[in-house]
Amino acid sequence: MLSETGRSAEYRLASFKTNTVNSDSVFVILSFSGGGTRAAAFSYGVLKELSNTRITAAGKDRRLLDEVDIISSVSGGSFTAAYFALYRDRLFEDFEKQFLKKNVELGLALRVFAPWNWPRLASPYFDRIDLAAEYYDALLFHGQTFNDLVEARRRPYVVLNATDMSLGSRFEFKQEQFNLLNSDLGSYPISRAVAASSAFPILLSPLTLKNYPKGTNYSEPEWIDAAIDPETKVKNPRRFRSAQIARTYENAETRPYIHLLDGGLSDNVGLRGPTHSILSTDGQDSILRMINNRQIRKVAVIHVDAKTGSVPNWDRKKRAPGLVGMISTVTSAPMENYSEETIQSLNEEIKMQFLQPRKTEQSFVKWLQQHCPDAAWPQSLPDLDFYEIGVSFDDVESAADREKLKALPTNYHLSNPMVELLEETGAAVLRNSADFKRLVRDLQ
Amino acid sequence: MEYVKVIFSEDRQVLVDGEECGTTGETLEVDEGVHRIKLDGPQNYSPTFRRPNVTGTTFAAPMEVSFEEN
Repeated sequence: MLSETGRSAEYRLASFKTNTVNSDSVFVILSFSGGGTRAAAFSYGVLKELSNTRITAAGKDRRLLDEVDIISSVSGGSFTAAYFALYRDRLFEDFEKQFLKKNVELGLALRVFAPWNWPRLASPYFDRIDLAAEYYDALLFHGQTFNDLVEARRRPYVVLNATDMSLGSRFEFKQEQFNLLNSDLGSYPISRAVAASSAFPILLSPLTLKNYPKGTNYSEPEWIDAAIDPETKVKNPRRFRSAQIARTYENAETRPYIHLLDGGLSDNVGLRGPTHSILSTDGQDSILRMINNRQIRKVAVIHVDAKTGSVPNWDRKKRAPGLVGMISTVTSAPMENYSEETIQSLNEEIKMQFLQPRKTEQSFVKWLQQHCPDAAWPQSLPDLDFYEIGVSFDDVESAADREKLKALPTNYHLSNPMVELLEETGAAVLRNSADFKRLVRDLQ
Repeated sequence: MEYVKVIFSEDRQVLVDGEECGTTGETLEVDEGVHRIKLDGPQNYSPTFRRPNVTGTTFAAPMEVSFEEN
């Protein structure tokens, strides 16, 4: 619970200042999708490639990896994101051995079936998700909390995403979200946040958070009051809905507990949060406000999507799929369908909301200079270069490799050759991307 | 996207919904809908805040939100 006197140094973007290593001349956002070890290894490959890419930022030669400002992750991608945020380049020394090439599923199963855990599991307040969090802590995170990330004060700022089971909406592990629960994220273990982000329904149980009553010193964020205005409801229903959702957490009487599941159920590419930050001034981590503050000139979004797109063979049989097939559809299909829309939406919104107005203004200025050379038009919109870079199996050059990767299951145990193929492919797809090449060229 | 320009007699940081968001005299990009706008720094202006419904604007014709010096 938050102390009466105030909050600890907050887990928010502003707490992670730019420094001599990371400048704001280019603002780099990564999003890592869900997909178990498949996603973790694929995103690892992307980080490796960023580490091998040299650029010039703020007059200094550095790695593009050092310019990464935000990583938004879901499920399998959250393991890589959290490990990198905590341990930085140690990721490239031991993450493969500690996690990617480990049979994590076996480790989890052994814990579930270990007799000494049965009395604990018999309790209604201790379940498979708690065992999973303990296992991830022993394996990777060793008691580290969000305070450890804040104290290090180095970007990237990692946002681990889960899903609010009651509302079906995104739940981000940020202090801003925890403020609504009157709770301190700083002392919360990273292992539990990663467990929540990857709590695949049915196989794992939901993770539960306590929603504390708001005391007299609680003050509602101003954006909620503005966004919940009836006039906002008419003009911007999406913004209104965000405020409605935020308000549900403020009422600890009707919602004393929040149950979280895999972030993939609300956003399997981890891109909705960054998209919202770019297009809205709402919230503490708004990138649009940084653009208005003239702090950012270039924004690069690299979305890493380990989606398979494999089609089951049920339609070849007259007999309808059984229980396992139905569960698989109910849990996986929404995640996969929503991912396409999320990426498309980012693309369209950025074009329409940012790029088109700037293009229009530039054309107008040119026309004015040609036809009315004495008229002055002070530029109103700040210059902004935007790079949207997709990394997915669809972009794998070799058809054979593409088929192999798309056939991979969503689990936490892959063969070593598959892990290595995923790593190499993540790196190669990024390296060969035309948009990535354009970004690197513009940063030389 | 909608556009707003905050007018005041001196250069001041603008606060949109409680957070820093550009400066006076500049065209600011905000999402459509109601926003609470005030100025950072000394409270030598009135009203203390404005709460416009920012809609129907363009970058060429932003909504102007004015504050008067006390």
